[in-house]
Amino acid sequence: MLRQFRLTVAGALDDERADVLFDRAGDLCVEVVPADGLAWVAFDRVAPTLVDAVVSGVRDLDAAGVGIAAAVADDPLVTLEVIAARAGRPVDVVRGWTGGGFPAPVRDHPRRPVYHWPDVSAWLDRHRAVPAAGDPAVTLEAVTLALRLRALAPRLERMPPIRSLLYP
Amino acid sequence: MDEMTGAGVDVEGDRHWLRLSCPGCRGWLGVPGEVPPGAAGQLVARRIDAFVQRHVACGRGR
Repeated sequence: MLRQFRLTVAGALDDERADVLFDRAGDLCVEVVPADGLAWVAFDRVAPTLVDAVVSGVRDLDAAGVGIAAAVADDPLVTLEVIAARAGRPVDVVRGWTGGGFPAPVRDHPRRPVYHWPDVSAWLDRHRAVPAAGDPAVTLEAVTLALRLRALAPRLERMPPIRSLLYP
Repeated sequence: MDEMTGAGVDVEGDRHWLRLSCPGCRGWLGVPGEVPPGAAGQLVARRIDAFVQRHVACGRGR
């Protein structure tokens, strides 16, 4: 199943590191916003579960020497194809939902309109168009906490007692 | 690509991946240089669409 998420970058993301990332995986894109001091790597990864996908993404950035700040939700801007993939319905069915009360696109392109996912998700929930699934935010938060702990580990006097807290 | 450049986005392709740069804020998007047609291509197109949408306002000032 397709898993979509982003890993925000801590520190620099230059061309050399991007080279390594793209050599290693072809299912990611890199975006940098210098004005805001932000950068992230967005994944469109096929994996059995979200956590498998995110952990493998972390390994990709590790291999490229790219620091990771957090695992976060995917880009909120989505196309009809992405909505269809997430809803588990054919694109033609999703296209038939548009109009009426369906959220208006933020970019009304004749072939590839772009929608705001939180609006679409709320509409899908209201119309029960997608079966209830686990909350991906929990997985992303857990990975982010693990990454923060990993970053702190070298400065800790002893790690094993802290790791033992995971298993009460 | 015409749609992207029309929105004020420059495209460079000197590596195994493509860089789309916003001339307004110097933000950039890196996408795989070779994507098979079909679903994978649509996923990359979606990333480009989102990037262009975010930078439409920057490009207007060009």
